[in-house]
Amino acid sequence: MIRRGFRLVAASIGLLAIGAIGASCEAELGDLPARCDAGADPACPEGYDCIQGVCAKPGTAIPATITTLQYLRAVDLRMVAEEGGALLAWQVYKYDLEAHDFAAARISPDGTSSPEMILVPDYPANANYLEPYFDLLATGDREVLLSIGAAPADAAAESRLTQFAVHMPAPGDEASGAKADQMWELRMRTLGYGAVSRPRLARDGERIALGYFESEAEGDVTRGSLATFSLGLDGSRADPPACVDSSCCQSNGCFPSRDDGTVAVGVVDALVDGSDIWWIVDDTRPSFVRLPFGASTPPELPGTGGAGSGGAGGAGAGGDAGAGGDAGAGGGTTSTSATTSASSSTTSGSGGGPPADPDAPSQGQLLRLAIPVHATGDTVVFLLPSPRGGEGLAVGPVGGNASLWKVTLDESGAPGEPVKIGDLPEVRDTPRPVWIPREGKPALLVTPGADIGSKAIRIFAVDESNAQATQVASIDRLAELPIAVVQAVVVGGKLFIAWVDESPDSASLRATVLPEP
Amino acid sequence: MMTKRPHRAVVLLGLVAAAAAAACSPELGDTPFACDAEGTCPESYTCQATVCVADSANPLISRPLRVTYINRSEMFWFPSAKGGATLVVNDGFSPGELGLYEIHVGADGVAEAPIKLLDFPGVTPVSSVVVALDDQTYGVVTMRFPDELEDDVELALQALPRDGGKPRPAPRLLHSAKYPYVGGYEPAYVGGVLRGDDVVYAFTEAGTGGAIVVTRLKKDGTDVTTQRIPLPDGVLPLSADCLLWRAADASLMLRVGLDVIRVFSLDIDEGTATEVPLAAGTPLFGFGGSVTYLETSEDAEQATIVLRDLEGKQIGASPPQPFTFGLEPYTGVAYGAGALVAPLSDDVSYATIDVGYMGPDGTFAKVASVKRQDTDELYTARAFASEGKAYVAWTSFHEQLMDVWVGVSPLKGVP
Repeated sequence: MIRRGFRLVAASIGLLAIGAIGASCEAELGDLPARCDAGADPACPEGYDCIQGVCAKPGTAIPATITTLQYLRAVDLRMVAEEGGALLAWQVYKYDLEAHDFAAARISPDGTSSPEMILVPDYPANANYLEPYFDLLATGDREVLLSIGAAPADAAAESRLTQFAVHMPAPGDEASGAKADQMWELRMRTLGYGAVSRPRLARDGERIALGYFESEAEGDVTRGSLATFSLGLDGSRADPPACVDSSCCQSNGCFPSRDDGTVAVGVVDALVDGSDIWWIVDDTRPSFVRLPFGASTPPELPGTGGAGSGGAGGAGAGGDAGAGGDAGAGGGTTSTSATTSASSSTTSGSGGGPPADPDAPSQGQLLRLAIPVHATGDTVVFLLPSPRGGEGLAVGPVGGNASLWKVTLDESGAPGEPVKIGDLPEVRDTPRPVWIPREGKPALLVTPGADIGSKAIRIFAVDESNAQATQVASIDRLAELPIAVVQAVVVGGKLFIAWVDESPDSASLRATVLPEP
Repeated sequence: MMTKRPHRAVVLLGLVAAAAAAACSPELGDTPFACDAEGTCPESYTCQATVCVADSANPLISRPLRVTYINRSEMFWFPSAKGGATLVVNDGFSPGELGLYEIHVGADGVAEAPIKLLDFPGVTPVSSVVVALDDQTYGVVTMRFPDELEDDVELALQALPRDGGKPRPAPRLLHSAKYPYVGGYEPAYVGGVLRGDDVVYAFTEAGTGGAIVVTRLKKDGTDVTTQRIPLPDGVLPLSADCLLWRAADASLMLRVGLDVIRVFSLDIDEGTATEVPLAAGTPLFGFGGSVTYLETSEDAEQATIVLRDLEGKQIGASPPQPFTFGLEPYTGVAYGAGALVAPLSDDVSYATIDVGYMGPDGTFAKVASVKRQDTDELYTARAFASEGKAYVAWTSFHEQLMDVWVGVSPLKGVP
């Protein structure tokens, strides 16, 4: 905010200076000389149009600035397809009121944005705790489901999982606001502070599923399980079990996972393949669990944790690092490879229990920082970003090609070794690239490439069968601030892209729309 | 005073202003401008947390930092060898700026520009506790979650120079230890104190069901003992914030937890930990044989500072104070035989931040008061006293960001 104030001062100074010299010479104004108000008074110097609030030469592609916040976590920006365009949603932290808002704006195919709408206002959030996570999914012309995973806001220890149904105003009537109904809320098992899962929604026709990762400590064991919920289109629960508190499995299914690994993690993606969902857990040490829509586990006894009889035992291939050695790049970079194995097979479990459950889901660990992008049949395809350089930090440099890999399940459901499909251009892991699979066409890959401050966001068309990538478009951000997050969707022949330009005291949400490449 | 190269807009301002300079001298007021990212301000103004403040403005209050967020545990006061006091804070959330900062505060309340003592690369907050190893050196215990390519939680003791000495020697790593990482967003708080020639720190390991680990080191980082304490019922591993208190008689007490909080008496020579029976309120300081609590009314509109013995019998109490939900005194700070507690106030808006003193005999007195300039929602405060002055640091929410303020007041009436 302070910096915005300074820019205004600087602009005023500029006008003064121009005024002083205006009588005697023609000033060279450059390509983007001033801001303008596209609504009330779009005044610009002669030869310039007011485009997205900036005076620019006619035809210049200027990304829209949706809003500027003082701070936004990368995970708190989501974009989904909705009626005739895209819905961009974000979180507004009101620490002083301990009640955060979930806000959104519509992005139209012409690149303009609607006024901001509050989808869910004043969601209780203790300022001492981690900010809530959210996901959203459009279920109808103006109907959106919004799921929130949050720390407690009361004296109870358990985390919260809250489901809202949001009714959106008609396009053009955003000023009338959205209306949200809380459909249900549960208290979820947790290891404590920060052990709040990102919720993730998935849809196949009329079927909706919600995934959440629970963690708990009991005795000398620290463990986790994937909780999956079956929902109706209005967000109501389908076939909920009898269990109604965190002493037992409250979801339709509780699937023990990530034994001997990190369990205070979240669900970061849900790759839908027909009637199956490949739930992707954690973005740093990713793993997958493949389950059908409506998957359930037998009821468990209170206090037993985990999944009761369905989840014990389990063999697991143990898994050596498969592709790791090939994944790294030399040349002074830090490899992302080798430390994480691929494999594991059916359910996790520490042995000593009953034999492996043949009906247990397939699951496995992927390479460190791998980004699963598409699942089909028994195969999941993942992108391994360019190896990190420098100190190996998320915001540091990267070098070398990214690559495309796949893991295929065998007849027993156990994952095989990762197989490299081919190299990709340089792709950072942060901001996480966007991959849009397309039926009968190459997938789209949206990324700034190797440079977190890249002026351009690049769009590649990628053939999944051989990793052949062709740059098909590029967006000039007109900025060099670090990019915190990128989101993209294809709707109606248009590619909608949103991102956040981040500085120490501001986060500008920006968006643009291109013809679908 | 920051000495930065002028921003080009300021140069322009100078050119434009030069034409008018002979004819007028505008009255700009105490806080006329935001300063730019490089801290540039007009003459006779100093950039304080992104605002140009007139050097003649109220010197007893300063706002040296505006950040994304500072955890309530991460403020530490020390006496300064050059007079006044130094505040060390841990900015754990401002993008690209994470680190430990030292701010010198004069006895007149003027705060110098923050100096980054220790950089925390990456985006994950680091828990820390700072002690004074000697007059020239801080001992900083950090607890750091692994970066994406690493696997373990790392505890470290580093030696850092005090009082902004230049050239600044690099931090010296005196000790480190690694524990399994089970996930999570940021580490729980680490507690630590200096006890004689030993540095004692406590944290919670979240793997294998969770346990409190109390590590005792010599000042040079040499291991002495490590003690494991089972987590009390209801205290979750990743919420098990640790806070260590050392009383004037060198006895140690440990507070652990976030929502559910428990207190232990520690005998680190014997390696024993005895849980103190639960009592009403939030524990603020342990004297060995007694504990000071913040006890709030049911509606959280009033609070009392209460001293109880280890069986829960009340020894002394402050008069009821106006209070507000969400306020976090967090901890008392040892002073003399007692402890300083802040923020307190006589009015619910907390227009002043008062400092209370609770003695081990239950004697309570208000000993300092600093008038605030901001009206933002107050979060927490930490008080310190040296050479007749009370130094108070507080944080308040400013929209989506957080301000760090410091103020100085005479110290009066300590029992």
